[in-house]
Amino acid sequence: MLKRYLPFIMAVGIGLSYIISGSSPVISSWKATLDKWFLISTAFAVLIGTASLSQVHWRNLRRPDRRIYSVALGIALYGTILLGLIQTGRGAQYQILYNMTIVPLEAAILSQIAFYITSAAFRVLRMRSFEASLMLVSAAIVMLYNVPIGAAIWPGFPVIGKWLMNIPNTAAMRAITMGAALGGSATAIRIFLGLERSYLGGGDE
Amino acid sequence: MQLSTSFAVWLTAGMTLAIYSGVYKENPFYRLVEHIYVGVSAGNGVVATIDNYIRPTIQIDIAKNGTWTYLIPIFIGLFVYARYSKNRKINWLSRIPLAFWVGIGSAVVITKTFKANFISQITATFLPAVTNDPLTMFNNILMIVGVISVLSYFFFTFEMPRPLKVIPKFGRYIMMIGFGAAYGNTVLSRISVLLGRLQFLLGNWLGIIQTRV
Amino acid sequence: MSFWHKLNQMDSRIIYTALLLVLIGALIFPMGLPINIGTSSQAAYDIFNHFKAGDILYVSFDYDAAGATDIQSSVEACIRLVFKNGGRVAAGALWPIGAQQAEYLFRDMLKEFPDLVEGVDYLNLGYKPGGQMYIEKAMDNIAEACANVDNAGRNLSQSPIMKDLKTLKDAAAVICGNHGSPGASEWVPMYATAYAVPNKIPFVVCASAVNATINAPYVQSGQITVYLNGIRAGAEMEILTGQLGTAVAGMDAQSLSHLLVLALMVLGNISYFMVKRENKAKKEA
Repeated sequence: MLKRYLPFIMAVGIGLSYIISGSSPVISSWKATLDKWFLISTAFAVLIGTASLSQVHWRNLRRPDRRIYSVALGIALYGTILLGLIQTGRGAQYQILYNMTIVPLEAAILSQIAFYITSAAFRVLRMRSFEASLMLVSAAIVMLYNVPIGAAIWPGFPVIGKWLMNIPNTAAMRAITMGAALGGSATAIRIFLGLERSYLGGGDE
Repeated sequence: MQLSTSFAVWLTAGMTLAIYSGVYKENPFYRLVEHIYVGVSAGNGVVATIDNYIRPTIQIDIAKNGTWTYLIPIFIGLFVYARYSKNRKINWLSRIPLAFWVGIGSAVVITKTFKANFISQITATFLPAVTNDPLTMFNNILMIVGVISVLSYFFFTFEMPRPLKVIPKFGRYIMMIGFGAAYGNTVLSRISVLLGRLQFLLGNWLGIIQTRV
Repeated sequence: MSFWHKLNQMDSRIIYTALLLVLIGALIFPMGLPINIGTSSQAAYDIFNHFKAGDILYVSFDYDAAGATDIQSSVEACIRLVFKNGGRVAAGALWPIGAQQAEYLFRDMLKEFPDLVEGVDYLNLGYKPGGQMYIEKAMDNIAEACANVDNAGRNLSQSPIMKDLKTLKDAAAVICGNHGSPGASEWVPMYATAYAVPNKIPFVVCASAVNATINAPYVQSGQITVYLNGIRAGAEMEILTGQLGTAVAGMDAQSLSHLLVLALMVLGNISYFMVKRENKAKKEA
């Protein structure tokens, strides 16, 4: 009984009290307290990502083709945490590790997409239909709007590109944003009414 | 051309080239470097959180200032690890932090996010449909019609009557323009990341170009 | 197999090599194409060039090393203008690596403005978890939102700048360097809509271009005062502030690579239609 209803009562109670205290200057300190408690609780849950990663790669140790990579990941992960605990993130050796791995590799991994995007321009962006053609033309104009050579080729490209971004694109993205906001709000109301309980799925009853 | 003499630069360049080698063909160096990056990055997130929040909360707020009420959210946060226990009497405790976060998150969605992403957007959509300038008038009407037609495209409660089907169809066209614009901007963004790495390789490592104009 | 069939099935590695050659060529042999200043960059320049001495700019470094190429130039240019006018800067980060980006930026600024004193003229508050809830708490009490310490682990009470920055409402302007979530999509509801718009406080977003489409509605509605889009805005801001850097250096390569992508789009479509025609002719024959 407690396992089933306590989390649900907590979610609804805390949520509603947050809303009420936020709109009332008399009890607004409760909202401020909940804000701080949210930050502290999420900070102390930081190891959940490490735990999940460790679980996945622990299983990979049984596979000879993936073992060495999982070992490397484990050494990198726990070595970084250990070094950070000893030195803090401001320590000299930690900074060397940081500057030699995270800074260059993050950019390198993300920049791979540049190659795939260029390849997609050749293989994927085909004028198979009117809608696909619209997308292609729009992409071409916005690309020429974004770079100096567009204005050098024809002064109209920046004008049309800006218009495309400000009017049709804004209309499309606005509708998508509004739809997402409606969906999010509906889910929030369903949570408060007890109709949505999928977030309580962790652990057994 | 002036090759760098720094070991760190050479190691960084080597790891960068190992990542790019994966673009040409999947190989063990690429996978190894990728796994190392994932490990260090995940570890860095933990270290940053411990340094900037966990340690000061315990050392300053609780131990020094005596704010013992902070033990409540600490335990709420720690309960999330109960999911790894096989004991049924314990592993249900992981629902408590989720309930806490979902409760507050839902409240924030209703009080803040809905206003910013819905109310403000409606206000900004309904611009004057009649103005002195014909171009502004066209743009305003297109904005109103565009938003309504895209919203109607996602309306699935019942099938639209045949004469009205042109509205969601127009919405599809507007969305395609938006997705095309997204692609165009993504090209600029991703190529600039690649440029940054090339500027490092050609400038800092090989010394062929100046890294700052 | 006809020429068009072969072209249609061209190995992607040829395309990758072409992209690399174009970029490397443009970096080694820059053309010096003129860069026109857009209205957004001019607007950002006007805001920060008239920043009052003593006022505090809050900058949220919500990006990592990958986003830095797109974003750091415009953030740096804005902060340069603030320091030039005697303003002060407090930096926070919703991304763990953002705090380090702030450190790099302040280290570069100290070369230009050696009289700046940490804790007085600028302060790196460091990474704080919680995303939008950090912003919500900082609207009420920044010190509590930051667990009372800055990025170096020092108590915030030791920094004189924090006497004038009790909450985010004390900032004369806010910049969000945005590469994803958490970022502008959290700042808009928690800060811009709730406080900046009604009080006419400038809220500037320096974002990587990939976020431009999704943030466009906020720009049109006025929730984002000025939107600086990617490396192009960075190049424009570098020109406006007179400190040319990597953004300007990369624009020629951007231009040529974009032309390559466009050429591939055209070539891809021509080969698609030619192959389609050939297949139709074969069927009819």
